[in-house]
Amino acid sequence: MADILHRVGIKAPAAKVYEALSSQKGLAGWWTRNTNATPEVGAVNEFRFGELGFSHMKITELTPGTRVRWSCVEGAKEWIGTELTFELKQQDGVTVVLFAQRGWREPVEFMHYCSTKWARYLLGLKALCERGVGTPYPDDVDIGEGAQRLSDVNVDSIWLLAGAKWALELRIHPKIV
Amino acid sequence: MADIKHSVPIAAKAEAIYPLVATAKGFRQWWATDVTEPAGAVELGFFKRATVYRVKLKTDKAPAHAEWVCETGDEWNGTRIIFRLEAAKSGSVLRFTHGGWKAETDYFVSCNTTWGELMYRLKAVAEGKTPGPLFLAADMAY
Repeated sequence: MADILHRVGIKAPAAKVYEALSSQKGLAGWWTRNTNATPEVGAVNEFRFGELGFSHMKITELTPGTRVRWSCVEGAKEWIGTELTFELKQQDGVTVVLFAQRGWREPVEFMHYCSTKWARYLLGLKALCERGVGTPYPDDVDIGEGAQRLSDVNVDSIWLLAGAKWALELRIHPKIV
Repeated sequence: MADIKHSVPIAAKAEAIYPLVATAKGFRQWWATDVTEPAGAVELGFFKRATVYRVKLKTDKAPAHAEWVCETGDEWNGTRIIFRLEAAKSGSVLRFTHGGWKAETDYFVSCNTTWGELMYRLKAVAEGKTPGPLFLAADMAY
């Protein structure tokens, strides 16, 4: 078994981050515009990424301001059965999101590719909560095979947002020094 | 021991990408502005050099495999930063490992996310975009 883990500091109240992780509008604002979500435990939310694929996530926990958990029930075969957790913690006025996608059967290359993609989407979540603008599919810079869309997006503005995101992460993480 | 791993397709040939991951000049284009080359090593300075990571190139097999060993940092000391490049239909695939961490600490997890962002910067530079390095001399890129 193998896990993908990420950690992102967001300068926004936990309630706002929770909203972005649970509501139709929130999820469509940072992961994929093609989202069909109902914020109820037991509901199966659908996320589509055009030719890149899709995933259906059964909601297994919704604890406002604290935790959202999903179980992947359909999608890429490597994803089915994985458990996703978004844990929110308050730290020095910042909401820290601890993300995990646990239960990969093997640490295959696709997992490492997905980890890179998750970094991008979670920074999009941060941008959405702090500035109101995320980069959900298909607005994200696609790193998939055959992705020739890079020229279609305003890369400079995306990097601009990314830089701001890291500045915050590092401020709350003085151990980088 | 714990490893950070990423994988990114890049629309460029390995020969063009390799100098970006195997030289100080390359690092300056996507990783950090403050990169110097004291004898036999490369030093990356962060936040006005409040943090300095010194790395040494241990494997230099252009254009397929560059491996750096970290010599400073509480958690980075002794870890290895490995870039492997292989031809793929989109150009190349970069397989990245920052391996040999003693434990999966909070900082390890934060670095996983940071490396994900850095992969995009590296990819963009290799594909002819100009996002510039993520870490400026005193702060982060805005």
